[in-house]
Parts: sequence; structure tokens; C-alpha cells
Amino acid sequence: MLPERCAPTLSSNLLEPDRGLRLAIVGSVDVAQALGVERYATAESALNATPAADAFLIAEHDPDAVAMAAALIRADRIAAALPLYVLAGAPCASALVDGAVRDAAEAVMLARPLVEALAVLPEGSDEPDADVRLARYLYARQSSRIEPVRTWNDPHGYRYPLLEALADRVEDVQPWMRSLVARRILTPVALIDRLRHCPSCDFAHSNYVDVCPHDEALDIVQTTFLHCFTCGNVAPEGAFVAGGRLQCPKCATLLRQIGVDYDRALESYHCNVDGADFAEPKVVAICLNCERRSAPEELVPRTVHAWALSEQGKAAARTERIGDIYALLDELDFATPQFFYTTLDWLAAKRRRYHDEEFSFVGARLKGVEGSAERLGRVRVAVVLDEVARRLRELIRGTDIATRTAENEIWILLPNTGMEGAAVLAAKLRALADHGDDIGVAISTLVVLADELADGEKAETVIARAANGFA
Amino acid sequence: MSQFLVQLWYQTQLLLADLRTANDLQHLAWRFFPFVILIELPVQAMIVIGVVRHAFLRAARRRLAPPLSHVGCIVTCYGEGVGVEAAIRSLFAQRYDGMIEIVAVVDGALRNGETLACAQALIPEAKRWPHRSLRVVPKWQRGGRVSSLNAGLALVSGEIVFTLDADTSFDNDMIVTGVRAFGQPGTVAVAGNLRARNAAANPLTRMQAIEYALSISLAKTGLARFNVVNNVSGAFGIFRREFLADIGGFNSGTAEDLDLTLRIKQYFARQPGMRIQFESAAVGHTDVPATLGAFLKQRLAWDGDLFHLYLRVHRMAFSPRLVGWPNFIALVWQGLLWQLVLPAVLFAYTMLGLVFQPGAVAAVMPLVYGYYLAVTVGTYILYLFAISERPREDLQFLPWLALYPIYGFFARLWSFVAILRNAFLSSHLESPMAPYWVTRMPRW
Repeated sequence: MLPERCAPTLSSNLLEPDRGLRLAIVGSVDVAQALGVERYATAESALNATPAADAFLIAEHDPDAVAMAAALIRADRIAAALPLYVLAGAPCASALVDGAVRDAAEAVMLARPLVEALAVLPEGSDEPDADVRLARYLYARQSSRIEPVRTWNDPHGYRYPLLEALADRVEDVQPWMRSLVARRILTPVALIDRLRHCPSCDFAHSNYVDVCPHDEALDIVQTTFLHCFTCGNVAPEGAFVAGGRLQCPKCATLLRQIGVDYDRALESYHCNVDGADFAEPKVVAICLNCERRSAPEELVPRTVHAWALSEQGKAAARTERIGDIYALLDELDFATPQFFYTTLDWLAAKRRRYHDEEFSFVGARLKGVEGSAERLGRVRVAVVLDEVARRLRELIRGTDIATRTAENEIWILLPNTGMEGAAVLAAKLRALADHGDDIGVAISTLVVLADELADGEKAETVIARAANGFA
Repeated sequence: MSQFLVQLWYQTQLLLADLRTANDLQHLAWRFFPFVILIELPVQAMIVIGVVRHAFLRAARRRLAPPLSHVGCIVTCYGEGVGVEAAIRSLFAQRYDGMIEIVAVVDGALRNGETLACAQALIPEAKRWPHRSLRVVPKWQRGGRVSSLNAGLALVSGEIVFTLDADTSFDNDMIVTGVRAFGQPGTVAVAGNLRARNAAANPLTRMQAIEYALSISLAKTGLARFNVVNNVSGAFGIFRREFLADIGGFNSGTAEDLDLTLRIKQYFARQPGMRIQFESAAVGHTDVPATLGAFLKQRLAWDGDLFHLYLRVHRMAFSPRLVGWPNFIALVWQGLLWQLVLPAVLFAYTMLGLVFQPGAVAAVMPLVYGYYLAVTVGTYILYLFAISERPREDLQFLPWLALYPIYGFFARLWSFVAILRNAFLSSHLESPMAPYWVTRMPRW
């Protein structure tokens, strides 16, 4: 999209610093003017201007106004990756802007290398999707990272302001980020934090409390038991207190010196609800959102990373081919097809010889992915597919062997499983695509039982024959 | 030998005749124990009067609620090793709801690694007790007890500060009673009560236990009523922190506790309301020397220090214009005459008698013994009724009182040896409480 006027005149730009770079100043604060600078009252008017601006300077001091203008510019399909500055001293929406400047001339100077870097990228479509916008943005700013920002009132504890600004839909940010990582467009550069999420609602905020191990009641108190050396009586400390001193309730000895007259036999807890005494309280994590009680080990650990554009991502930005959506499935532990075929042959041979080996296999094919991607954009489909891959991982048992024979086709071998089990799995596989958000992606399945294999037929031919049966 | 027996018989007859007629009591007294009449009796009488007054006032004092001030405890540690645990734990276990800040200063921590490790191992335990904090301060280079105390004083906060020895453990009402003693206005220091933890070990430790009961618990209770407490023991002293800091903390040199007591007393004439108390209910338990060698060595140091402090360092304190009349009299009587002159007189009488009139001495001895036994039993019973917080335990010492006059007699003779030794050899420079390069630094 970046102006042809920019690319061919690169060399002349070096001689005449201002030529060809249009800076749009958005806002009301007075800024020293310079050549090629246009002033706009609002971000919308700046974005709609023709010819389009190459860089933006938000001339506002009000933090909300700065943040709103920056978000609008970054959300724009065309302008998303363009250089964006704020005035020095203005509160800066740090994740979204490229820096603070004193005047328009400085903005123009700083913007130039970014504009030149963007000019090298192919123009692409008029409506680049979020993947492309992000790749372009990061490509032009090679050293920049996508930083998480700790946010106390965010369900995940961290937000990625840049991804939120660039995303098609803010609620898709987390799955979109997962899919970018799964497709190896983003690569982690730093581990920022590790959070434990509620297994039920995925909320990152839990309250850890000591409770009674028997009835999980909150109302527990620590009690100390004293041991009278004179008579051997062991009782809670309260029973010994008499007139501010310690006196054994059994033998009436005054207990004056710890270690000589008495000692603390044990420190114990007492539950005021069920009256239980116990040595160690139990710790539970109570989700502050859904109030689910989990043992700390049940919480789901999630890592928070800062991300950068990977080499693959850089290549994608240059070619504007943001990879293949099916790469999302690469993350699953698939066996090689060769291993799958060998195992299938071996099972079939065993069955022929001993007549006792039951097995089956299920095939699944993703349909409608390309069409949906055309229609709705890759990001929406990638988000759904990421969810499919995640649930698929949970579906495949450790004893199953899964393989992928085409980008949209997987096969799962189920030892010791007959028709019934295989049909259940097939149903579950079909249900994988029943995402709340129907975007036209479906999964068709088929089940092959051991009986259906012809004698001496090679596994590869069996699979090929079966694949013809996909609806 | 036959001459001795003749003399013994003759003197005994004379004595019995004197006693029968009883017409010349003054003669009798002068002849056998003038020093008793002149020196001991007034002091004993003062103590008894004080204790009786104390006993009547005790009930009233009990009712005062202790203020819950923040207290600091400086625990001076050296080579106690695992022994510091008992001291520090007994501070954790105090029946006191206020904050107790414990600063354990380990002197010569490089050499006393075990002590340091034991003290540090208690830090997690401190967190389990409400309102207790423990800070362990290693002083790598040995600097002596005084440097530990002053280091602790610089670090500790709180209104009242306890200076405690790491080889001493405490009753769990020690802090409550110790703090309560400050309820009396003008109190700047309180001497704590000490008991012999290892009393049952052997006859020698039993004797020392009786001595602690009579010369600390009983005597100081009596003296405190007249505001003339002779010493705030270094192993267990309680001070108003600000006052202690204002007078510059502890001075280096031997017997820093007696030195401090005498320095405080020098404000008494100018600050008439100022008091040093003794609190018999604040009890610390310490190990007394269990072998004769260790016992003699300890007394050699203590009694020698007395001479050094009274006659060298604080000679100027013997003035009613500084310490006030009551303390002037007490210092002269109790300090000079009883503690320094009496051993000399006793020594001279015994030696001269043994040389020139052994028979007379032998005849008088049972009488002297009888007198001392009577005084011991009398004061001990007074102790049992008026002071002891463990009367049942202390009752078991009754039969041992029979040995006590003999112990006291020899302890007094030994005291004279210590005084002589210090007078001529300046033995205070050999104090075991600090390295040589520290003890030789002060002016004295």
C-alpha cells in the first residue's frame, strides 16, 4: 500500500529530507510547521485524507485523547504499521507509538527509516488482514517486541496493547496470539511471568487460603499445646492460663520456665466449624471470578512472554504470504505417515495370525477452511483452527497413534477398539468444529474397522481407498 | 598439742563463765567478733527491715497492670553454643503481649561459629511467635562483653532494654515483672533476680544457690527499699533505654555492671527522685561454677574487681554530695567495710589467732558458727516467706544451711586473697570478659 511515490524516490529523499514524506498532525496543540505537513483536527479525518499520510504526530496533551487517537490509527487497515509519534512531555501510549518528538521536523526525520523499510514490502491487498498488519508493523521495527503489560483487572493478568490495537476483534487477542505462535510467526524473546489460571474459567487471579483439611472451612485458628513436665499433662495453652500466669490445670504446678517446667508439645490448628484438630492446614486456591476451589496443583500454569517477529514471520511480511493456516496442526504430536502405515500393517498381520487383535482407525478431514479464509480473513479461521488443534490434543489418547497424510487430513489408529469406541471418537472429532462462532469450517469423519481390511492389502492403499469415502 | 588442749579447755571455761554471768556482753563481743557488731549487723538489720517493708507492700504492688511497652533484649553471646537456645527460647515464651525485640550479639563470631549458628537457627522460630523479633548480630572480631552490650544498645529499640547473658534462661513472667518495676516513677534501672540453675549438681553449687538467695534475692530486696541496691548484675539488668544511652552506655573495663551502677548512683544527689530497683519476681536462671577451681577463679575476678572499682575507678563516688547520704552510708558500710575491710579483718583475726592463740580460736569457732548459723537460718526463713517465688523448691535447701556458715567463712577468706591480688597485681586486667587489648585500654 505504501505509495509508489515513496519507493522510486528513495534516492532523492536522501538529498532532500522532506520530500515525499507526508506527516499528518492530529490534534489541537501548536507544533512548529514544516514542509509536507498537514494538520487535522481528528484521527478520522487524518486517516481519510488523500493522498494518504506516511506518518502521524499526535499533538495532544490529554492522555485519553492521545490514547484514543493512537488506537484509531493502529486499528486502521492501511495506516496500522505507519510511524506514529506523540509530543515530548505528553503522556505517551507507549506500546502503540514510536516515540516522542519535539516538533514536526523531528517526527519527519525519525519516520523516514520506518517509511523506507515499509516501502520495500509489497503493496498487497487493499484490506490486509491482522496477520499482515502485524507482520508489516514488526518488520519495519526490527528490534521491537510485543510486550505484555501487567493489568490488575484483566482476567489473564496481562494485556498486549499492540495486539489489541492491531487485532480485528479485541476478544480474539489471546487465540490470535496463540495461533501466531503456533504458526511460528511470533517467537518468544523473554519469559515475563508464569501465572496459574483457574481450570474452570481461566481467570488468573486466585486467592490462596489456609483451610481445614476435613471440611475446607476457612475459620481455623492456631493453637499451641503445652506439656507440663511435672505431671505430663498435654493440653491447649488456653487451659493453662490462670491469672496471667501458666498453671497446669491437672497438677496445679506453676509453669515458669520453658524447657524446665514445660514446653510447647506441638503447634496445631483447630477448626472452629467442625472442631477438628490438625497439624497442617490445607491450602486452596479460590478463583476470584468463578469462586471455584482448586488445589494449587490443579491450577493451569500459563507463561507470559514478550514476542518478536520470527524469521518465518519476516519472510511472510516480505512475501505477504502469512503461511498456511494448517500449520496450526503442526504443533500436535503426529507420527510420520510411514510409522503409521508400518504399525497398521503389523496390527493387521497380527490379527490375521492370532485372530484376536481388534483395532480400528478413524479419519478426519477439515473442510471449508480455504473458503472461509477467503471470505472472513485468515485470522478468524486461524483462531477457530487453533481451538480445534487444542481440543484435538486432548482427544487423542496416549495409546492412540495419529498421523497426518495431507494438510487437512488426519488419521487416528485405535488399538483394542471396536466399532463403538471408534464411532464415539468420530463423533467427538466432528464436534470439534462446532465452535460457538460458525464460520463454515466443518470436519467430516469416517471409521474403518479391522474386518474391513482385505487380506494382504498394504496400509497405504487402505488409507488411500478409505480417503475416497470422505463426504 | 597438750598445750593447745589446755588452752582450749581454759578458753572454753572462760567463755562459758562469760556466758553464764552474761555481765559483760560488750567484753564478749569485742573479744570474739567486734567486726560482726560493727559491720555486719547494721547491714543485716537494714536488709531485714527493708524486706519486711517489702513484704507488706508486695500485695499492693501486684495489682498494678503492666504497661505494654515495646521492650528490647540484648543477649550477649560468646561461647555458649547450643546454650543460647534456652536463653532465646525463654524470651520467646514470655507471657507478655507487647513487642519483644531480641538482639543477640555474638562476640568473636568467627571463633564462636557454633553459637552464631545456634542463634541464627532460631530466626524462623521467632516468626511463629506473635510480637517477637530476633536479630542475630555477629561481631566477627572479639571485642569483649562491653562492646557487645554497646553494639546491642545501638541497635535495639523500645522503651525498656534488658541486658541478658546467653547462658541465662528466664521465667516466663520475667518481662512482665521487670517492666512493671518501672511503674514506680524515677526508676532508671532494675536489677533482675538470679537463681542457680544447676543448684542440685553438688554441695558447692547448693551453697552458691543459698548464697544467691540470701545475697541477691533477699539482700537486694532489702537494699532496694532504701534505694541503695549495690549492683545491677550484668547477666540480668533492665534499664530505661534512653537513660542508658544518655549516660553513654557501658564503659569498657572490667565489671561494667558495677561500674554502671556506681555511675548511675552519682546522679542520685542531684536527681532526688531517681531510683534503682530490684525485682525479685523477675527470675533468671544461670549456671554457677560446679568445680572448686572454677568457683575460686570466678570469685578471684569478682572480688578483685570490687577493690578495683571502689578504690581505683570510683573513689570520688564516696561522697554524699554525689550519691546522697543513704548511698554514701551504704557504700561505706556495705561496699567498703563489709565487702573489702571485713574479709581483711576476718583474715587477720583468724591468722593471728591461729598463730598466737589457737586454743582460743578453736573455742570461739563453735560460737561463731552458731551465730552465723542462726543468722543464716533466720534470714533464709525470712527469704522463704517474704520473697521466694518457689518456696517448695527452696525448702529443700534447709538441711544444707548447716554447711553455709563454713562456706561463707572460706569464701570470705578467699575474697581477701582476691583483694590482695588485685591491689598488688592489678588482676582486673586479666578479665575473662574481654580480650587483653580491650581491658588495658581504659584509664583505669
